Amino acid sequence: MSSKAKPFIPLEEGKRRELMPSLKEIRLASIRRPVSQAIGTLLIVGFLIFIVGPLVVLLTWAFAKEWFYPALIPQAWTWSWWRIVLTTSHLGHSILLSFIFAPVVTTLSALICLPAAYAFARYSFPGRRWFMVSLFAANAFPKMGLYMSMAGLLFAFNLMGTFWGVVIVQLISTLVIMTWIPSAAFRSVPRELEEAARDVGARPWQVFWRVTLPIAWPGILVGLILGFLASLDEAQGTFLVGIPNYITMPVQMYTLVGHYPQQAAAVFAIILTLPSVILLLLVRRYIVGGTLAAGFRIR
Amino acid sequence: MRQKPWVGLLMSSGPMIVMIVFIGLPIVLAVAYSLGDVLGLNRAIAAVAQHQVIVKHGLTLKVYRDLWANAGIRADIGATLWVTVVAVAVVLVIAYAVSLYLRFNHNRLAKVLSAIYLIPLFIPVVIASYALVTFWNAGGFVDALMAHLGSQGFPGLSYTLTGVVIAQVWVNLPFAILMLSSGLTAVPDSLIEASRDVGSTFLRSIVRIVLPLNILPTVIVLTFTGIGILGSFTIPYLMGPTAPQMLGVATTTYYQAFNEPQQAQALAVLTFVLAAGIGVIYVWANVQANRREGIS
Amino acid sequence: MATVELRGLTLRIQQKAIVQKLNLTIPSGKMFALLGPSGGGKTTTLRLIGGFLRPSEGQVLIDGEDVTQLTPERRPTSMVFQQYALWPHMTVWQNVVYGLVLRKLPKAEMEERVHEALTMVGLTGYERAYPAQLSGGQQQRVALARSLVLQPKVLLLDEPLSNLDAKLRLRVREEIREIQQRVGITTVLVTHDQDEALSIADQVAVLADGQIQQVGTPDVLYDHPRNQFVANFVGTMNWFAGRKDHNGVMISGRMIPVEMSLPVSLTQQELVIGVRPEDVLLTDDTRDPEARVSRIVSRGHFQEVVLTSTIGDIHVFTTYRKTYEAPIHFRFARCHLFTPEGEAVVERSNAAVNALNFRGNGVVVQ
Repeated sequence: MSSKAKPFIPLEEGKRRELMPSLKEIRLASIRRPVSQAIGTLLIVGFLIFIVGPLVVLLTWAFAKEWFYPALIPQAWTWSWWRIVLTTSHLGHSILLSFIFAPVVTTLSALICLPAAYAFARYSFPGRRWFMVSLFAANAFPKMGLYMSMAGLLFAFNLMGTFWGVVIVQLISTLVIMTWIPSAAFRSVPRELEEAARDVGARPWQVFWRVTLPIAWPGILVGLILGFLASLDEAQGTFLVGIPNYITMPVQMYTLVGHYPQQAAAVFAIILTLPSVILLLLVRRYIVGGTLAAGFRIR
Repeated sequence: MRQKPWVGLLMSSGPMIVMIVFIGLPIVLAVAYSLGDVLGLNRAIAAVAQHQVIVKHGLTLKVYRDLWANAGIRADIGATLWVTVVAVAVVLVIAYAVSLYLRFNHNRLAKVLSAIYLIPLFIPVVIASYALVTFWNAGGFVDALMAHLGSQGFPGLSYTLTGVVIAQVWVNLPFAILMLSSGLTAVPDSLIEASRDVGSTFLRSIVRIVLPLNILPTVIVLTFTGIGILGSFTIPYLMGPTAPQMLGVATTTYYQAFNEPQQAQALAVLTFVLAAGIGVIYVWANVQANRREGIS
Repeated sequence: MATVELRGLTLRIQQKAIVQKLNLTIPSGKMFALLGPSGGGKTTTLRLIGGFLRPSEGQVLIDGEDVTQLTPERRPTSMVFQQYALWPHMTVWQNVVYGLVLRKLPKAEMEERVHEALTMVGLTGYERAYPAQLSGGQQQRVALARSLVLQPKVLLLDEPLSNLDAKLRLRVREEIREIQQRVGITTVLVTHDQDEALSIADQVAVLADGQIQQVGTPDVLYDHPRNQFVANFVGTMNWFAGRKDHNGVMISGRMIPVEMSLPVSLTQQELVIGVRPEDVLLTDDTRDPEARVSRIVSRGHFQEVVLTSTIGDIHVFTTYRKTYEAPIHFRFARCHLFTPEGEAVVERSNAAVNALNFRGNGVVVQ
């Protein structure tokens, strides 16, 4: 690199090339037209079919009376599988059980995790970041191995095959979600807003209740709903700990897949999916808005 | 940060205690058991198990050596790694394509796309696997469609490792797209415009400007998807072949079908070690990002 | 060096015209300012010139060549963005050299050019720094160097000073002007700060509601605003409703003498009268209307006196500082006349002033 400063412009003509497009290049460029748009559109449509296709087929099965290969739509339609599934008592019982466990687990998880989420966001204490990472690391251990070892523990506490045993098994699948996502939400509340509230005379708990909580609420809600769904969808641990007393919907689903007609499984699958769809539609805009993504950053 | 460390410690103790008792302790027990320790809380599980390796003093790697000597297990490990690597790669490619499309297009197709891509997040994994099996199966919908288009002899992808990859991709895409989109939105338009202004094409601006600024979301997708797939059970159980199995399925088979919990635990520990390897990348990327942003 | 020409440039977004039928010629080698309130369409115009937006109608021509359909990388323009848009993952050196790397220049030449550009903006020694380690002013220089290193035909500056503090702003604007004159590059500057536009631009276009209100040199805009909007936006004005009278203006039934002669043609027509604060003369002449001093504000280089009179409050700038004993008297040195619709009253015969005005459609109050 030369150290002496030179005049920037004018340049010695001819020594240096023109860096900006010349008039000729401009003329040539004007003629070109983008062609990639069509290919992009095609790929995206393919992606949409890849995502939606299996679900549409599943939905169709729930109303199919006869559907033989290679027809693309059923030959005959019926509603009867819905009646059969809803009136088979042990299936109905599973649905009820699932909706008892999920709220209990979610509430318990919220009570345990939300204070921690706030602490991770607002307090500095030794091992804070280590705690967050270990929470994540613990979650990386395969669930099956965990449940096997836990079995010993639950035997020791006399929790095998009990209601609270199932609650504990489902609870541990919600820990990370319930801590990380609300924690990011608490952290995103601007400190000045809390300070401004203190400034006009609010007590600390009033600040939390009237300022912090309302602003962090979307993130907390996303955490609650994902926790609820994690509990609702947990099958492996519930199966190991809960049988034979507590067969929830997803556990039942494993049996249905092999042992019932396609249509019954399809109907049951739709019933199991409905709460997820409804709950997630409620918080969709928060999820898309980055609330979920923010939760996966360690600070 | 508030300077009341004890309050913070106390508030965060809830999940910590649950984690230490119901996750941390079982992990330690699992590792110890797989190394030959059958005492203490491992006694209950060891009481009914078959083919156990028991040591009175110290620990042994015999369980692992025996497993490694088993060609079937080696194939399972290979299959697990293959599915994980391929599925993560496919997820990253598709998720980047979709998020870039969403980032730079505001037409009607993009609106439909942004409404649709989240759907798999709404679907319980059991249901998703079931729906995908039905869809890709021989005699299933894709098969029928191919037959209509004049291509006979579609092999059916259910009960193959390819089928497992397809299902893993389907299930993991929403999270990946969500993370990458969110990261891409954070890159200001002006940085891309400035790049084009100095003569870079659109594609080149993406490679040189946008991707380097989106490393952390990429690593998060890579690690979380990777770890999730590595330890997955439901998808390979319902969609995968009988052999080779993914480790998550093999673990369950050893425990429930063979009644060999010690070998099952050893497989779980093995999976965990692989996952931890991926996890290190995640923690490292976070540390780097925090350092760059000046957070100590 | 190049001229930029806009022909009937229109951009509509969802039927709403952001800019509307702009016709403008930006002369070669000059500093040209687009001045206006936010939302007036000035940044949009700049982005249309840079190729970041495609117009709904009309053309952009650079040196007579139509570039309307070209993407930014194909245009001989370069932009300095409002937030500088430096790439945070690249050092100062990498930021500046990026455009040259794309053009595959020999290494030695790249180094020479980058060094020159950094020398010109006074940033040698910062090559290895990352943007986050620099102050706002330094970041701004990097952005300028990044543009200049490519020797664009047209330099586009989008509110280049709005993110700097007041003191730095004055210095940087002198530097920008100095560099522009040295390089002799055609430059388009977008600003909402009239002071900035008037002090460094050769020519200024005032934009509001997506339309050009007036184009001219800073002096023409200040002395002969074409309409009430320009008069109000460029500098300050005292506003009154009234009529032209014999040797002055009639406001609220009071005759106020005006020293400069007013257009002859106007008779008892309702007018809007604008008077610059420095055109209000404070006198001891008891024939002039009376007023009381209600407030005196020291403005540093001058003094602002607020008068209360029967025609309303009047703001006056005076260069000398003193206190006044009520009552005092005032008259106007000159005033600007507008129709109730806000258009400047033009005396057709005054060809000299028409020539001064860029669009040939100016004010005459002389």
